[in-house]
Amino acid sequence: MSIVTISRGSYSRGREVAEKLAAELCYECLSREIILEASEQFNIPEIKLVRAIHDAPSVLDRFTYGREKYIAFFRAALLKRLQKDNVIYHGLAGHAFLQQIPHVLKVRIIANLDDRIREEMKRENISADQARHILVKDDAERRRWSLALYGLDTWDQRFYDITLHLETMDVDDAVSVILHVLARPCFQTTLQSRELLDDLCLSAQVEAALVRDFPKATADAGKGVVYVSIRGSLVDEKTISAKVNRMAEKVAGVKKIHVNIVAHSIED
Amino acid sequence: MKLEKYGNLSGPSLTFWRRIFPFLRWWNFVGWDTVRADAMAGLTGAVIVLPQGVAFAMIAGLPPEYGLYTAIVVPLVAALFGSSLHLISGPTTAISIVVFSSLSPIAVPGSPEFISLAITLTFLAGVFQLALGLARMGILVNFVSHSVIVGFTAGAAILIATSQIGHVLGIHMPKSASFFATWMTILQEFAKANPYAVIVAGGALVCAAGFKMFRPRWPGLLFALIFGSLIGVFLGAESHGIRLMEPLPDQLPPFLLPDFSFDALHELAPKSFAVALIGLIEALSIARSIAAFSRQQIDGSQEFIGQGLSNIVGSFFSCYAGSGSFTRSGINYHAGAMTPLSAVFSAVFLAFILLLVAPLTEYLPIPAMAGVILLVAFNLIDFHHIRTIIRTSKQEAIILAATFLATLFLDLEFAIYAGVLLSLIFYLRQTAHPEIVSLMPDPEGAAGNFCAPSEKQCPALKIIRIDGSLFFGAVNHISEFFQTIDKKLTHKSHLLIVAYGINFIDITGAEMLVNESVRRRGMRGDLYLCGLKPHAREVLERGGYMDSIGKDHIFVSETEAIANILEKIDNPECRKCRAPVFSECKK
Repeated sequence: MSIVTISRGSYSRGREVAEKLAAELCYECLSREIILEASEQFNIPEIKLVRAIHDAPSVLDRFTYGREKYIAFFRAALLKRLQKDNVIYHGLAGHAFLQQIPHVLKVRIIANLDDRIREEMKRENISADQARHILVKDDAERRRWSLALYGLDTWDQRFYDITLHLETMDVDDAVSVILHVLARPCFQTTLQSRELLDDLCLSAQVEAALVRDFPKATADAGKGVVYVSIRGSLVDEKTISAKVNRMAEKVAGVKKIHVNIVAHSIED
Repeated sequence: MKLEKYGNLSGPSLTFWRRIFPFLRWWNFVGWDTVRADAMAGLTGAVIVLPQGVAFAMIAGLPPEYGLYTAIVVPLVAALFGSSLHLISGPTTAISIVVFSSLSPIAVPGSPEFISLAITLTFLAGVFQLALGLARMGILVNFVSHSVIVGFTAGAAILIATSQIGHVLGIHMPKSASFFATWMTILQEFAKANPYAVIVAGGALVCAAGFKMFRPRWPGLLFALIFGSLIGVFLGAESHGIRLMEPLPDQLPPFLLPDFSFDALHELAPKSFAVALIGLIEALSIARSIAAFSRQQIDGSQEFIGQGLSNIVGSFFSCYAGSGSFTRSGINYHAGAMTPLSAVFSAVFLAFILLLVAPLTEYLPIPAMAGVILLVAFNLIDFHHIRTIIRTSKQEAIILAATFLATLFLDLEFAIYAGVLLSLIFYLRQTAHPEIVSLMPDPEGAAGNFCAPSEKQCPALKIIRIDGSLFFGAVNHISEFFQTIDKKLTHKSHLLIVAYGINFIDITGAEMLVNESVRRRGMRGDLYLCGLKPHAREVLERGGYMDSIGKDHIFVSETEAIANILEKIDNPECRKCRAPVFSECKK
């Protein structure tokens, strides 16, 4: 009973590893399905969601908060699915959303750039230079996205439990290594880790419920009690609190809501 | 990860740049929601400051446009380089009146020479403020008590109102007359009052008061001025001898160099220091008041830097000295401003308004402006805090009254100094008289509990608690108390000092303890201490005073002290004691 997230670059064969691992374990294998689910659940265009979780934020994004909305929806949908356990997720943001959950094995799959270029040339029927350009840009976008939104560098090994370089090892070897690691007691679901995931999921649902009106809202849940932080003036504290309560109490699992108005943030 | 949504983590180089450019400290918090809130608050602020800027410039003895220039440039720089997120700087009543009282004896108000001096005064005040900020002297303002500020503001409000009575009544008043002389003139000339001027002023005043009461968020002052102008037009103002304002030039603050001549700088330096000080006190007091609502931590020295830079920059753009405005800061905060960008928006909007409506000001009757200023002055008087101060503390009430009267009858800068001096005298008097409380075991409480002594007392051991520092200023008072113990209760030669309340002991205090110890030993008694704080203990140890008092005379708690002292006591009174006070006596 556990969850595996696989972070990968384009054409790093991470998808193959994920699918094979899911087949071995009889787990569900998820990737783009989450985007579709989020798109349906929150009634938003799929393409906007894809762009929001793939492209690095622009200067304008900082003021419009469009990205925050889509990411909140995506995160809520992803965590809801992961709550079911026995899931392999490969794709963006998994490691970023699940850092605090111990029973989630966070895997990073990397491959030689030349191998990836060859793979892309074969699939897309393009020149080596074009393939190189696309891959380098793609990697940079993902890196900037993660850094801008979560302060996490996708290339920083500290955010993963294991990193597998698919050069000397093939897909089967990688699956075998992951299976071995996954069998360790530290990656088994426990009552506490389960509760952590439930709390994180509830936080994500509340954030998604609030994000249209409060794009920078953050929620921190614990056993149904949700602490919501909202940017706003303390002058409007009562109005904001009442609105947040009205919106958040509709989320299943919410027992009590505490609203904290973040009136300012001053950095040293 | 949650916190990063409100701002990125910073490295050492970013910290450096944030010190130089303090707006980088809140820049990451800016988003569409804050920009929208700040723009709305800025628009409200711009409308509010328009009549205020004109009125305050008149109070300062300057042409009205200088108030608006000050309201454009000064708040912008102060907001970006200060510490407070909600403080709105610019022309204020107090600074305006200080500028007027400082310069009117040396130049005719409104004259080119007066304007030049006002701008140089602003530059010098800014330099003083910046220097104090860079020297991290923000802490100095802590010595200006709230009572001084309340008294000063109330006094300034009366002075402002007095300066406008002539305009309200439509009678000619001598320039730069004292408070007393002004009222004498008003009483003498009262019969010559122009009823039309009184109607215009009264109409504007009632209109402004009505908006303040029923629509406080609306720009009531502006509507009151428009209403006053309409009354003026209806009555035929000019034909009835009502003075109208000169039209404002529709231009942005022009670049103008202050007068850097040695004579000007030499003459204005002392006056500008007073302006600088009052400006800082006013700005920081207001910033702190607003911060009490917004829960922001104010860095006093950074606020000094912001105020200093704003006045220095302003002095090159035809601005006179500015400071924090209570009215506009309060309105800014209550209008929902979230970052200092609201001040920037306010300045930009005001610049647009200035370019658009400047020619219309020639229809504005001066009595209407005076009526509005009367309300502004009335609102400055903090009746709530005056009542609280009078009810709470006699000393604070004296400080308030002294500052208030000094503001009315002395130079304004001396009023602040007088208030601060009086506060310090009271403070020193208080610290030189630390409270000394006699204690005895609580007969009804648990073991180790102490209370104030009743009739039943131990004839051999006196226990006291000193609440305050044992320093040179307090030594005399404490020594007197020790002597009194001997006079009143002859047998109490053993003295235990409970020292939990002693934060600090200096050499004089330590020597006093040693002398008292020696004196008591000569009286067949002794001196003991318990509950000494680490710092106080360190002073006694390092100076060798601990050895003189006796290390075995220092205890951790009262219980330990009493148990040890009673074992040593060989007092004839103890042998015939029939009602022992301490539980240890019974053993």
